[in-house]
Amino acid sequence: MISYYVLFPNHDNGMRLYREMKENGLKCTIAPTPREASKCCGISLLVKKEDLDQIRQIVKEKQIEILQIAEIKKDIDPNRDRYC
Amino acid sequence: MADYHQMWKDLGMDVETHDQLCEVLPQAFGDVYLSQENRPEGMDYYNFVVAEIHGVRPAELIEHQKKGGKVFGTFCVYVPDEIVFAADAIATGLCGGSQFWVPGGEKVLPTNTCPLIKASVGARLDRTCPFFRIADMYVGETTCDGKKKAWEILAEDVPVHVMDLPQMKREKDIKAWADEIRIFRGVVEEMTGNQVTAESLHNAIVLINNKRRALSRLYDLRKNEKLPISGKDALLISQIAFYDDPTRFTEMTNKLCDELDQRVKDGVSVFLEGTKRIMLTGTPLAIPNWKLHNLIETSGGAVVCEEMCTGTRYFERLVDEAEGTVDEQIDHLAERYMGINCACFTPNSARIDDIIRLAKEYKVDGIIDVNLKFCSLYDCEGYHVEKALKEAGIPVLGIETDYTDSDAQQLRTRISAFIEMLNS
Repeated sequence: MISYYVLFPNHDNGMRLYREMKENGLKCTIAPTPREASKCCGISLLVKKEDLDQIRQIVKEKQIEILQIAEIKKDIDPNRDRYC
Repeated sequence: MADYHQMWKDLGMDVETHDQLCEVLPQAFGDVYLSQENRPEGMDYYNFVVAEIHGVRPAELIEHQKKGGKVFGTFCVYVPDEIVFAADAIATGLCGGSQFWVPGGEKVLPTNTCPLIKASVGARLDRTCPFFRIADMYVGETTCDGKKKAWEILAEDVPVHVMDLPQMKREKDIKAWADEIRIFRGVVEEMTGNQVTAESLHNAIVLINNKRRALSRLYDLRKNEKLPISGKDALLISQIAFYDDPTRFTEMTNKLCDELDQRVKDGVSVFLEGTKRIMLTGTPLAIPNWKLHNLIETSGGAVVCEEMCTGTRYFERLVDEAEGTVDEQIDHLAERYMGINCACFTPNSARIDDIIRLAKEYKVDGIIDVNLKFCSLYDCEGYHVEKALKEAGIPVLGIETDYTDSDAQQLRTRISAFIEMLNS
């Protein structure tokens, strides 16, 4: 399954997009940045594929800085039993 | 996705080794938390805190230090944060909940020491946690033998003040704890250069009580038949309570509870009807120890309450908010904190009463008595806990575990069998 993560240079921009998306009724989840996307840690936004165009538009209009929208083949598995 | 490497280097951290922890956290968090259906939207705040766990809050603490403020690291729910905040300092929990830090602790401690102590010592000595680097002073206490010796080892590397917690609950013991708090006040005042006044202590008592009220409100919502939030989400909130800014934490937790109130009104549950309600009792689950909750909630159970330091022991009962002299308020602190029931006390029958009471309040179907490996206090007390629960007709499963993944499958089998038994 492909998941879409918006990555940011800092959390301020991440939270700005989060708030804008909520105001526009778009679903998103704050998540730790997946290692497959970047070695830097911090927040990313897990978003839906069908919302990507609208997200890009918000980013442009509101001048929110993002690094990229990463497409990640992600297998979230609650039974993997790999903790940290 | 900020780059905190420079901040970590400035703190003297072993950034390369620390990176190994950063590598596993996103997947573990994704598996345990982002796999859930219908999570409350308010959990996004706690996702944020975890995603920025070694970034945002450490940066805030460093900012506080740049302005001349001090940071005190604590390891136990008996240490009164109120004294620290009353001196314009910040208290932050330092308990280690990851296997990542354990080998570092084993370099100086016997292997048969509990993982919480080994992880806490390892996080400091291996220089792999920013919170352990930032704290100007550690505040230890005498709740167990392993910790007492750990403070001596840590004191070679960082200033440590140890509070002598009485191990009985007679009137003279409560007075003795009040005296310890007075000594602690002096230590904090000397370290910070700030006075604890009647007004600042009163404000700090209200500040921390408000955090307790928010957590109490969250836990009350878990008493509902239809559970508006999972046990693992509630655990995460409890864990974050130890190190987040108390004002912000209280605000965000109350905001989440508003959402949960609405869920209760709408009859929304995050579990299927008939899911067995499990309460955990025993040793604490420090962040990022999510193993047991995840195992239970992926094996047909719902965790509805934790009679643990990362649970009811942390927030139940408020400190008397009556204004008075510093001495009078310290007596109120001692009364509240000595009401916590930890296995380090003898006798400790009030803890058994707590467990039975909580089992009724949260309408539990079964209890899992959890013991962190090598914690002889809680292990020994398990005899009385399990005996009392059997007499009360409450099914109980005793589990001993550590921070490793190696027993996960075996635990899953045992937990599944226990829940199956509750279903039959």
